[in-house]
Amino acid sequence: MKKVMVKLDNVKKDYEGKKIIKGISLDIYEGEFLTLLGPSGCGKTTLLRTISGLEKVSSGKIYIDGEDVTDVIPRKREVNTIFQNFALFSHMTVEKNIGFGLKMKKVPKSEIKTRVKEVIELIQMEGFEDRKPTQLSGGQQQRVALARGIVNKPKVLLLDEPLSSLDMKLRKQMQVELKRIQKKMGITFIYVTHDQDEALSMSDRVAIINNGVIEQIDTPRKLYDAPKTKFVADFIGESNQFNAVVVSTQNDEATIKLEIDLEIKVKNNHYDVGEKLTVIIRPEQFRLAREKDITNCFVVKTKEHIYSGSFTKVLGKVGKKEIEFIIYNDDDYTKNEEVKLKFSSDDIVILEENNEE
Amino acid sequence: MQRHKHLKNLFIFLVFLFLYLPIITLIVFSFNTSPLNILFEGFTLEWYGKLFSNTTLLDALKNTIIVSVVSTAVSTFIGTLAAIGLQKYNFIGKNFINKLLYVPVVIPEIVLGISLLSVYTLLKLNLGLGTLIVSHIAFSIPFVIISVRTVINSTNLQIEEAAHDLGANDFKTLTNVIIPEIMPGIISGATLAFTLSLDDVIISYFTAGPGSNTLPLQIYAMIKTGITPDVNALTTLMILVIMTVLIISSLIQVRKMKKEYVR
Ligand SMILES: Nc1ncnc2c1ncn2[C@@H]1O[C@H](COP(=O)(O)OP(=O)(O)OP(=O)(O)O)[C@@H](O)[C@H]1O
Ligand SMILES: [Mg+2]
Repeated sequence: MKKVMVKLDNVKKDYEGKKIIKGISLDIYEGEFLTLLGPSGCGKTTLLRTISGLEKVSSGKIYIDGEDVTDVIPRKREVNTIFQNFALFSHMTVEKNIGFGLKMKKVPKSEIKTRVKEVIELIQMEGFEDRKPTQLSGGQQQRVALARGIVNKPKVLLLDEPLSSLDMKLRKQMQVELKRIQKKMGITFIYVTHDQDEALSMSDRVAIINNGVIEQIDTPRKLYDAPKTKFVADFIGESNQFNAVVVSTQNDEATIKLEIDLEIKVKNNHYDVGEKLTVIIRPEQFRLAREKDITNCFVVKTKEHIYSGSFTKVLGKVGKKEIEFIIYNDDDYTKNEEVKLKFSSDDIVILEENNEE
Repeated sequence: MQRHKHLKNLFIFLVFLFLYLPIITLIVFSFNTSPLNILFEGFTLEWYGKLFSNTTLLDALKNTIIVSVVSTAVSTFIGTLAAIGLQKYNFIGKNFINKLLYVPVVIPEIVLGISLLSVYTLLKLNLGLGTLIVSHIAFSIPFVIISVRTVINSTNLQIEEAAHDLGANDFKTLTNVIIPEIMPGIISGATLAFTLSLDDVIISYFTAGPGSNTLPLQIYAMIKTGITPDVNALTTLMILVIMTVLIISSLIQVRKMKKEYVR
C-alpha cells in the first residue's frame, strides 16, 4: 500500500463570497508526480496555494504526511513552491538564492555549501554560482528556482506552471530534466499546467479540474481511453461527441440512434430504452469503410484536409454535424468529396449523460 | 546633417555654460586676492585660512553636518518602513494618504516653514537643533517614501511569499529579502534627503534657534553685507562636499552595475 503524502479533505475556498474551489478531496502518494490540469481560471493556482499555506482554506482539511496542517503557517510546512515567475531574489547570487532556505533553517554553513553544490551539479549549472538572476537566461533562472526548492528536500514540491515562460524547445528539454530530477530525489511533485501534452507526458496521474471541482483523476492513459465526462473527453485530445438515445436493447447489444439520424450497434451496458447517452469517438478511431461494411458506418462530406506528416487530419460533415477524422498516409485513400467511415464499438466511449439534459 | 550636428553641440555647450559659469566664477573668485568680485587680481588661499579660524562658521558647519546626517538617517528609516507598509497593508484612507504624500512636496517651503514654527510655538518648544532636526525629518520623509515606492512598484512582490515559503519569518523576510531588494530606492531616497537638508534655507530659517545656525543660514546672513570672498570660499567647499557625495553614490551604482552585467 502506497503512503499518502498529501491529503485534501473536502477543501473549499471562497474569495469575497465567490466559490473558487468547490470541495476537492484528493490523495497524493509519496514520490508521485501528480498534475493539476484545467482551463485558465479553474482554480489550479488557488488549490496549490492552499497546500503551501499561502492561502487559507475556507473549509476542509489538509494533511501533509499524516499531519493536519490546515492551520499551519507556510514556513512551518515541509513544502516548497516553484512560482510561475520564479520569484528569485535578484540581489542574491545563484548560490545564495539556492542556500536561502537552508540558511533560514539554521543549517550549518559547511553543510549548506555542500548541499548547494550538490544541487547545482544536479541542475547542471556549475560555474554560475556567483551570477545574479538577471544575468541568467530564462531556462537557467527556471533551474535555479527549482534548485532553491529541492535543496531543502521538502516532502512535497509544488510547481505552478514553471515552464510556461520558456520556448518550445527549452520546455521539452526542461520537462525531461524535471522528470529526471524528480525520480532521482524521490520528492512528491504537485505540478500545475494548462498544457495537456506536458501533463500527459510527465505525470503519474493527472487531475482534471474544471470550475473548482475535480472532473476526473487518473493515469494519462486512462484519461484518454476512458474519459468519465464530456469535459474530460473534450479537454484531453480531440473528440467527436454525439448525443444519442437508446432505441432497443438485445442481450449484450444495444441499438442507439445518434443525433445525426444514424443507428449504430454498441455493447449493452444495462441501458434502458429511451435512455440518453453521449457517444465519444476519437478522430483516429475512424477507419475507412469498405463496400461490404454496413453497420456503424458514417458517410462524411469532406471539407478540408490538413496534412500533418504521417497522417492527414480531415474535417468533414455528417448531415449538419461537423466531424474530424484521421487518415494515415499509407491508407488507400484518395481525396474525395464523400467518404465512408467505420469504427469499432469496442474502442469508443459512451457516457450516460447527454447535452440535452 | 553635418551642420545639424554642430548646432546640436553648440546648443549643449550653451546650456552647460549657463549652468556652470556661475559656479566656476564663484570658485575662481574664492582664490582672488582682491576682496571685490570684479577683477581677478592674483591667487591666494587667504580666504580659506580665514574661514577655518572663523568659529561662527565652524559651528554652523558642525550644525549642518549634525542636522543633515541625523535627519537623513531618521527620515530614511521612517520613510522606507512607511513605503513598505503603504504597499503591503490595505486600510481605509490608504489612497488618500498616498495622494497626501505629494502635498509637502509641492507646497511652498515658506508655508511649511511657517506652519512648523507655529506648531513649535504652540507646543512651547525652544527653537534649537532639536526643532531643526525634526523639521528636516518632516520635509524629507515624503521624498524618501516616493523614491522607495517607485522601486517597490517595480519589484516582483512574490519574493515575499517565496521567502516565507522557504522558511523565513516576517523579520528575516524584511531584513534579508525586502530591504536588500529595494536598496537602490532607499539609497536614492537618502541621497535626496541629504542634499535637501544640506542646502535648506527657508525652513531652517523659521525653525532654527539662536545657537543652531546652519551653513546656508550663515551664508545668507553674511551676504546681507555683500558677497565677500570668504563666502565664495565657503560655498566652494560646500560644492566640493556635495560633489563628493554625488560621485561616491554614483560610483557605488556603477560598480554594482558592472558587477551585474560583466560576465
Ligand atoms: N486574491 C483573489 N481575490 C479574488 N479572486 C481571486 C483571487 N485569486 C484568484 N481569484 C479568482 O479565482 C479564480 C481561480 O484563480 P486561479 O489563479 O486559481 O486560476 P488558475 O486555474 O491558476 O488559472 P491560470 O491557468 O490562468 O493560472 C479566478 O477566477 C480568479 O479570478
Ligand atoms: Mg494559475
